[in-house]
Amino acid sequence: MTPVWRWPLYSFKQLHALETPLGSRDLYNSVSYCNRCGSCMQACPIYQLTHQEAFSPRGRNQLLRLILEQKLKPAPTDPVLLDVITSCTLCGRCTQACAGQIPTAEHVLEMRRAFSLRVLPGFLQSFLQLRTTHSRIFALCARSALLLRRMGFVSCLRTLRVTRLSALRGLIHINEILPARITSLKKTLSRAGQPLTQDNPELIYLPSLEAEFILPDIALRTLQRARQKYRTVVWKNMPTGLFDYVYGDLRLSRRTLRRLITKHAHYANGNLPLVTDSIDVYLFLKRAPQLFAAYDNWQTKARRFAACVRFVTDLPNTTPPVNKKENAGPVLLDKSALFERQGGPFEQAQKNLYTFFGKNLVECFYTDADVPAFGYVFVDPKKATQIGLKAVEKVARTQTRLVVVLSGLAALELTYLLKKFYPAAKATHFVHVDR
Amino acid sequence: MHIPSPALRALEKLIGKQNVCTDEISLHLNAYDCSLSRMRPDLILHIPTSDLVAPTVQLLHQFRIPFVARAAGTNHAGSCSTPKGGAVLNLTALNHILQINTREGFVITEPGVITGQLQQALQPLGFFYAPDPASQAVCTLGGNIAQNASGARCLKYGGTLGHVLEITVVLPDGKIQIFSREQNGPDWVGVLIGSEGTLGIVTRLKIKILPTPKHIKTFLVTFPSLQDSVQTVTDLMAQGIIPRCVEAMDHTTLQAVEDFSHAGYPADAQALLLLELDGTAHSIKQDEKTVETVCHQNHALVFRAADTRQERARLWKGRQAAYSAMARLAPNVLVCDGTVPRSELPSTLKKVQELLTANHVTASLLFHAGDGNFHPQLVFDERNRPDTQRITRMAKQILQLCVEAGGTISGEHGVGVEKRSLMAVAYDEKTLDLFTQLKRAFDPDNLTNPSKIIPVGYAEKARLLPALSPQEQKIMTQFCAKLNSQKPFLIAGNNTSLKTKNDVFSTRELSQIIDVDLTNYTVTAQAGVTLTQLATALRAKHVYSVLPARGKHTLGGVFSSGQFPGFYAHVTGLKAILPNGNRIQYGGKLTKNAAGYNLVRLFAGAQGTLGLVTELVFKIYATKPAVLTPTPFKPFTPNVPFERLKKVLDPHQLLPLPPEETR
Repeated sequence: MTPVWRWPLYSFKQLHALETPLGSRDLYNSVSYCNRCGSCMQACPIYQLTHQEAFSPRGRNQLLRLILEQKLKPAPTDPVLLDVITSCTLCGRCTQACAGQIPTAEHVLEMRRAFSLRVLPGFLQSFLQLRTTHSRIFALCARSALLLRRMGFVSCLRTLRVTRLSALRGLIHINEILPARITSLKKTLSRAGQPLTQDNPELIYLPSLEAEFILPDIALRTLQRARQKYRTVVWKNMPTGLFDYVYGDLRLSRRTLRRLITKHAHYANGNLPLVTDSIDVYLFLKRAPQLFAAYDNWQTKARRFAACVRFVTDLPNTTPPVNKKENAGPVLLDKSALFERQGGPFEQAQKNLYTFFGKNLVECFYTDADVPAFGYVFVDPKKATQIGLKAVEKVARTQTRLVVVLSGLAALELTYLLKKFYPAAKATHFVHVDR
Repeated sequence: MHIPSPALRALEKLIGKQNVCTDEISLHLNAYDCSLSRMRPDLILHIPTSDLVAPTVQLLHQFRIPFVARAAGTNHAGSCSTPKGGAVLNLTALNHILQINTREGFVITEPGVITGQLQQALQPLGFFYAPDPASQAVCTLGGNIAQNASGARCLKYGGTLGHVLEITVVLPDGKIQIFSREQNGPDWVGVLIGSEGTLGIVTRLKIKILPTPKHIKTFLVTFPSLQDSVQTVTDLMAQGIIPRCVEAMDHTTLQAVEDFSHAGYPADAQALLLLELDGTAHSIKQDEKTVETVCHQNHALVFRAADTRQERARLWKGRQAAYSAMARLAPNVLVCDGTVPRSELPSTLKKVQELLTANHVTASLLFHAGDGNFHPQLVFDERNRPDTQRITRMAKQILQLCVEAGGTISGEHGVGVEKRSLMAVAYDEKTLDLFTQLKRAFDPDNLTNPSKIIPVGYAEKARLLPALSPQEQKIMTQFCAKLNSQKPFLIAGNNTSLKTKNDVFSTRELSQIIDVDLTNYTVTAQAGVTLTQLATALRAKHVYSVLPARGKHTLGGVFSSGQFPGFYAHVTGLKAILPNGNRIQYGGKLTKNAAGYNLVRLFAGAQGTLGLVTELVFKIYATKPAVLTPTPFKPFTPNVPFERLKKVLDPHQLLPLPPEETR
């Protein structure tokens, strides 16, 4: 048994303080606020699958606390430890259910960082990390990968059964998950007559990775909606640091975010609102100050930056076609997101959808299943599918015809699951609902 | 403790290797619940299906490994911790609702079903399950049975005890036994409910469901004093109105809740009541007028009514946020659970407030005003050891105050390990002896959830019972003399049920109605009082009981013969003399009591075989309730736990089962 955690913890690989809904707390303080009441248990999709305390939010918080108090010193290779830490979907439902608003997802990430756990398959980790370190090479590789796919490379791998290798397991359903034809963002925008830049911009649009490389129509629609009111500029191929925050090195995430904050600060007086189309990116950028708790100067800048971050729900609404309300059938909002699922954008989305669809909008509860967010399907495909199926079950039970999601990745995954198990319903990104 | 490898191998073979965990992480993460106790087990067994519980327990019994059943682990008393190590049986996967029968009004489920999920399943069918513990979104039905959980609706509908019809129990030796409310003899279902898993493991339960009331109306009322709020509840009951919920909070809590939740509660009041009525539109309309009049008579400051779901939700918002409001102030919240007779509530709350203020403890004070159960929530940081010790000491002092006021140490959270020592404050030595004997009757090897409920070395610490009155002393002497004659005899009142010519000990001399309490709505009467005598006394005070107004039956006979099983739910306390000459006392003028085994249910229907019941405390009502009709007298067939208990209490069978001619 190797003690891996040092306390007090001031490693740059870790967060120095957590910005909880109830104020800034260090990790030990934050985890100590868990009163073990168990309110979070039934909110956790993984606990509902496993029915084991170790896989519940309460269990994860207690595990962290025991490690911090040095009452438990597990080896970094302990299979139970790996399973407990990697299985968390980071969905934040537990935080919503908790009276003390304990940020369990953040605690799990801190444990992953402390034990230097890699949870994604190796090739995917290296490939996606390229976006942070060498964004241009990443763009080139992404385009090449899409070209290879069009040429039937994935089908070839499947025929050769290479996708059975654990390192390539993420590729098994990639053909079904991704859209059949993918056009580049540049081409999509130029076809629609939307330039990347405009003079005297009033708004910055930061497309998410999926909107930029896989679903450019999300980027196009966001831009169209933004430009109804604001002169908007697109910041293309601009990593945010979210990937490294969740799957990689926190130092790298901090560096990337610092670059973004600097660019924002130096662009048009540094107070332009910045809108993004992915709820995961939005929530990450909103918690930017948390990454710089030990750096006062940067934290101030990060706070200023976070105040400028907006989500697509803040963009002006368009009126749906007259017969949309009546013909839509039941509509459901899938709150698939990282870290949390309450507050501003979720309430705004719910409100907007209500104005669109009226009573056709199905009521959501925090215990309702959503598809796991931000690439969890590559972390644990089996559990991800089981949770996804629960989300489909909810869609089928309510006879929903349209499921609205707040990120492109969730739209892709849910579309795949619905096509396979409940084709009567369709998933769409929030920006497309008025079509 | 060391788990032998053959045991591990056998268990792995039985429930699967993946369901047997001995790794440190799993062990540490099953060492706690919502209480302060942390005790590491030695083995975790995730039971995948209910039919595997009995063989698993058989194996554990064979290897003499202590075990504790665990589901959601949300209890506040450390009931599912493992002081002796051993195995934890995780039953959360047993979460299937097996049958919902709306025609006959019952549900059959497994113990791991979440109470809130059952409510959700029943809602579209127009039914509901009445017990509503505050943690119903996460707690399980099995846990509710173990703790005899109840909630805000307890005053009108009762706790879990009143809603379970049948349970399938795996006894500590692995044998399966079905206990049903339809069986004659002691109410074993009632004994097992609230036994905190120390007598066996429930694997299947049949529970009663009720049609959802069509109309519900909520009222928010504030008062200038706690006394006024409690008096209001008493006055409402005097008018024959039993509200669906009566939740209350004091001034300090009111302010904390309002600061946090902005629910619109008038923060200047000294006490706030949330009253809820249910029934038909007509009945609610009628009752509403009375409620308003009674509230104003008791100096109500604000009276608000809410009809619609949204309006009602707004009124409940603050009450529901009370725990959250405290949970944000400090890392830990200790939720105490004291119960006193309703009449004692204002004075006890005052003493508790003084205690908290004198010790500079931040706490909120919530209470179920209808049933005398209150929950001080003390905030603290368990990392600070002196602070934790101070708070736990305070919690004990609060519970001692409850006992001094004629109450008990738990209304709905149970005893577990945390309040074990306080059992000696609540009960006398002989009653604790009986608890021990009952535990041994079910679990001679002390394997199921050991070291719970019964305190260690209680003989010196246990409280003393009050001295007997001359009349009680006389009966005691006569009864002991009869026992000392070493000849078997039966206990009879007026001999109306037994009609035996055998040797009997008559309770006719115990004919005193000691007290008709119009604040708590209880009667304290001796066992020899006849139904006619009782009815005459009650009529004089314009109150009613559920018993027939006429008849030669004595109260003791009604209670013990098994002819009035509906009466058990109304009995809240008793005094008895055991076959070994010990006298015991259990309960009192309490609506809720979750401390120790339910002795009322043990003696109910026991047909005098376990001892002489001398005195009963039971509920009365301001309006005429539905009167019980007697069923024919039938002697019961004893089961294994009964025979074991009898062997200890009455080895010479001096109080035998009724003779053959009555069978």
